[in-house]
Amino acid sequence: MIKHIFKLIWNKRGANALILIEIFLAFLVLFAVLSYVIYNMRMLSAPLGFETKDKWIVYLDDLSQMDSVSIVEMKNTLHRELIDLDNVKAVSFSQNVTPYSGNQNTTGSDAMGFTINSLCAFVDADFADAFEMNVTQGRWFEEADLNATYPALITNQKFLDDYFEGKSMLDSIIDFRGEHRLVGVVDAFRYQGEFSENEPQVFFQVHQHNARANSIILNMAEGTPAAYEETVNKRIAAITKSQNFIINNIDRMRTRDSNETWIPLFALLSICAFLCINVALGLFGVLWYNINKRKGEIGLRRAIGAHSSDISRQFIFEILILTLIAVVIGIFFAIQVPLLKIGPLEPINMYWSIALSTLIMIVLVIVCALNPSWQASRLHPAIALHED
Amino acid sequence: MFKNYIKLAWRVLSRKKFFTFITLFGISFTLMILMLITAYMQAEFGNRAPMGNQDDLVVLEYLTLQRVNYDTIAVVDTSYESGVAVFDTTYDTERRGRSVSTTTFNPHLLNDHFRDLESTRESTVFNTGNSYDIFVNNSKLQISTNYCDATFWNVFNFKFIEGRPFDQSDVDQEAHVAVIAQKLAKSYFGQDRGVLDKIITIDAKQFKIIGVVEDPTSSPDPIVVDMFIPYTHDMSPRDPYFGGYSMVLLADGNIDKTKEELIFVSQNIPLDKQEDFNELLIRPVTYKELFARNIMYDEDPAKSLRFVSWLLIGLISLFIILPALNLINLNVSRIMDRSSEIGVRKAFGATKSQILTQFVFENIIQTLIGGIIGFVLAFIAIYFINQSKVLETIVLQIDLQFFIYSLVICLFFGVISGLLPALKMSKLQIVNALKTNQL
Repeated sequence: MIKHIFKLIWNKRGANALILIEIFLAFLVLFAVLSYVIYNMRMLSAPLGFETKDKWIVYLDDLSQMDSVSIVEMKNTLHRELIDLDNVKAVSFSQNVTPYSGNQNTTGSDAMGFTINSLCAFVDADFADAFEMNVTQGRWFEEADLNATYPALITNQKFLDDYFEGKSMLDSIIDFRGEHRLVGVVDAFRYQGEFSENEPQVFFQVHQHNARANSIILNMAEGTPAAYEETVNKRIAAITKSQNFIINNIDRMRTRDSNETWIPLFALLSICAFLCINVALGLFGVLWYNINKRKGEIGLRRAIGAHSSDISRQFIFEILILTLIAVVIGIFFAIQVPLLKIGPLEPINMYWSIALSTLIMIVLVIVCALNPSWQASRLHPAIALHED
Repeated sequence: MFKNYIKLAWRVLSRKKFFTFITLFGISFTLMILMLITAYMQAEFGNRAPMGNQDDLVVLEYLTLQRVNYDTIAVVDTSYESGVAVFDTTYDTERRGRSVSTTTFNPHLLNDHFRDLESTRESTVFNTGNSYDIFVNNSKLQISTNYCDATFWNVFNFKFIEGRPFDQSDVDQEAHVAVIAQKLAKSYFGQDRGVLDKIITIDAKQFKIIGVVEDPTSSPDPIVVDMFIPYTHDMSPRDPYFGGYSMVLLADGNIDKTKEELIFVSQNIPLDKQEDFNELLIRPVTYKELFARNIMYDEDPAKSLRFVSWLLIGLISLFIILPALNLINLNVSRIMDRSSEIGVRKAFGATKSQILTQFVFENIIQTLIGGIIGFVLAFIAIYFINQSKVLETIVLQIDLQFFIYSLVICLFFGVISGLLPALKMSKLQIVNALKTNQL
């Protein structure tokens, strides 16, 4: 039967070649778009490592021109007065690498005999509370760590997996920007956005009095209204005697940041969906016409005993084999991308994309072929043959 | 005769509604999406005010200072030549580890070294890093500012609704004047006219408004802010190299020459703290390269731009080819339906070219109808995109010129998709055309 179908396809090679090219091109478009979508969806589903709901952040003006005594005094007052507010649950001071700020700090070092590249953040002991972070091993920084022999260090799981795989590192000394003792591990801290890669990350401890720790993270009570910002604003203005600071809602920053990915993603997906619908409609039309033109053949097969399901199966098989040929050619080209390591994405995304694109193409074609072939199978032999 | 063709085309279109729908759907959506893509490109790169000089602008965003440690690696090759050991030692220097700091510039560094280059006409130094919260009628206004010099207004050609830009003497005297954007005038005063000489207090300083500019429709950082203030109000950076400022230079016709000159100048900037940093790098970019780098990051922005352009060209051509193929497919199979009609026409003496003309004409009519629907769809889509503000400051506009281009592309495919099958049919022998089908 397969041989027979191949013969039928070959007999109409002119028209079939066009359908083949169309399915092939549609497959390539689908492959490219889905690779990008799958990559982003995988990023999105990974844990962020911190909460953004009801978290506010205050960017103070640069403090480095103040003398250190007044900084200490101001920071102490800020901490006391802010935690005193009814709606504030936790207050943390950190340096400028904070979620969605666009700031980034990377350090590379081969002090330990191999190269370690990692993102760095400089935070205080209240940071984990303020962001409700997920400490999986050990503990977060404590005030006492600042006086320890070795400064404390906290990393994310990815850091350990990349550089110390399979070793239990807790309480070990790691030489990275000086010797530090690892006191804790968090699951993740993807502060550059929901769609960012999970990269090795370390946290260094700074005291809240540190002159460069001028971002204040506030963990607010659930459902604190935006109007409450004015209260916080006034209190900070009174203490710092300046208006040169801003309060941002981290959840809003997150939405804004994600939209930068969601919008192109949505645009690409809708273009892709439109192309699929277009191809499907076209295929449907062509199939419908072709099957209508082959009434004589259908009548003859029915007359010599073919079951109606045989007829519909034949038509579905015909288009399915055509699709498979096109998809196999498409896979041949698509698979070169991960094999030759072209492009920025990890191969796994593309393999998934190839699988998904193949599935979508096959489902699309079968759906298009179902109705016309069902109609063909319902033809009565007498009527089908009568026309000719 | 054309009247007949139009009549005929209309009949054919209305006879098989489903197929007409498929065709029109393909044409109109292709056109709509092509128009949306170009509307976006036009908004970002169409040289609309205040980005009228966009093609000649070179941006210096960040300064990178790095300390690179070099290691000398000695390799001793020992070989034996007739029993005697011969040593061949080679030394190799290899980069080992580096510490990098990348931030915006100190304004004095920019003023001292990069002003008045030979290959530039104008340049501006500005700082967009500061925002202030202001509470008006119980709601918060976040005011973004741009501390800039007087030449800013020559590099970016803002349209003034009223008032004037600040000039060199305002900047020199650290005058308390400001130019504000239309959107700030509306949200702060509730009106975008008649706000001159009013006062806005920011950072405990009172600024008198001397000008209101139209809101830009694209997205570059220096132009989308709410308020422009003379940069002498914010000139106290602590670091000799870093400090909040960026620079945009207006090239004198040749962007590459400007980039080269900038890099040449940067290589001759003395570095005081050799123990901290021993290399100073700048990366002059154009706005197109900046845009591309956001999509696909590469250390070399020119590479990003190449990658993104090819990606775009590839996607758009696939996007045009697919619906065209679809149309051809459909027409090839449908034309057999009309063999009897062609047979009759031929029998009554119609020439091959007359039959071809008729089919191509039908397809052109179809494409034009699809084009009009596509135009309307694009119009509606652009309206909703602008209303919803999903693109933030970017405002899309229909570009008539491009509409005509897209229509030509569609017509081209309309003609091709009509021509191929019609050519096949017009070659049919009359007898064959009439034989199998009854009228």
